[in-house]
Amino acid sequence: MRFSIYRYNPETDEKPFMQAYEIDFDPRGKKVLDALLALKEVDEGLSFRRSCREGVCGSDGVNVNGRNVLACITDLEGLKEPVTIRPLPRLAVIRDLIVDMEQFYQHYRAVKPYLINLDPEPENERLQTATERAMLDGLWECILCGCCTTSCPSFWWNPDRFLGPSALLQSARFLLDSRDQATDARLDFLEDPYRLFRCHGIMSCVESCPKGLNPTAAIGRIKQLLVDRSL
Amino acid sequence: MRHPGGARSGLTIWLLQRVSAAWMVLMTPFMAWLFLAGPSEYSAWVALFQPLYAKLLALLTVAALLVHAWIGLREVMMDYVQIMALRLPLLFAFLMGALLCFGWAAHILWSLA
Repeated sequence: MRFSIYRYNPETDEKPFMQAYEIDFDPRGKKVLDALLALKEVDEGLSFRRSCREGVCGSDGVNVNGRNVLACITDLEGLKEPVTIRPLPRLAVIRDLIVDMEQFYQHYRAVKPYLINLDPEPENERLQTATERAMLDGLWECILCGCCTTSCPSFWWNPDRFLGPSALLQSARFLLDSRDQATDARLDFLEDPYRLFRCHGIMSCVESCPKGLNPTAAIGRIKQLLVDRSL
Repeated sequence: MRHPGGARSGLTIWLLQRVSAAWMVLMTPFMAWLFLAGPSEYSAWVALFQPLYAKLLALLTVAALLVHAWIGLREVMMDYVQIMALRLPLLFAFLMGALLCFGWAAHILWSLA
């Protein structure tokens, strides 16, 4: 199989370049990550992140043939050759396919991704009804791989100020949690021309989410909360 | 903490864009009729805009269009014009242009006789 892979080692390379590889590899039943591991056997220098290899940890987000995917759950069979693998767009490249996720995590931290509840702690757990719990479905499953945020044109233009689909989905996850008491403060933080409202409903995030989540719908629910409290 | 001023204007502007769009959608059938099957004579056209409500509806539609267009341009510039020294005068120029168009439309509507 033929591959074309983005290479950049800041210690030795002046500029990033695309390296061509050709290896004997049967794609049947294999994932992109399997091919990357096979390529690493040939070229030890090739660097990429991976951990769980089953779409749960979210560390191997890469751009394969122009789409942001998790290498470990993307079928190799059927991909157009040469299979072009690049790092996730818009983030700084540390080396080869490894990107600097700091900006992404900053936005994640900014939405305070934890329950804020000032009531005295109950003896056991804080209970929810089945309906209240169902509100969180489609939100809690996010694994923070960064595929959605780095595919979002609004994030490309204003990466420092627009929170991006992933952080906004996380924000919705806590805004809609019946146990959270910081709704107003959370909405105050989002009511800004950039943090939330740079989303124009382009929906690249929905297209690219490897977990099949819908950040655009989550953003719509946040907008609805903002409208509800303002009118 | 909420602050007065533009930094917290995201929701208002987004809502204005939605509302102006909804208004234009409401007016679209009427405008389509006007342009496709409306009166072909000047006097009949003028007569259509004689009642005050017709003038006001037309002016409101112009306002919705201009508000919608200005917000759209602002969105585009927030993405593509990253230099503030360029973005601010451009936004201001478009705003002045929109206000001029609004005044012009009002003048036309009320000068029909």
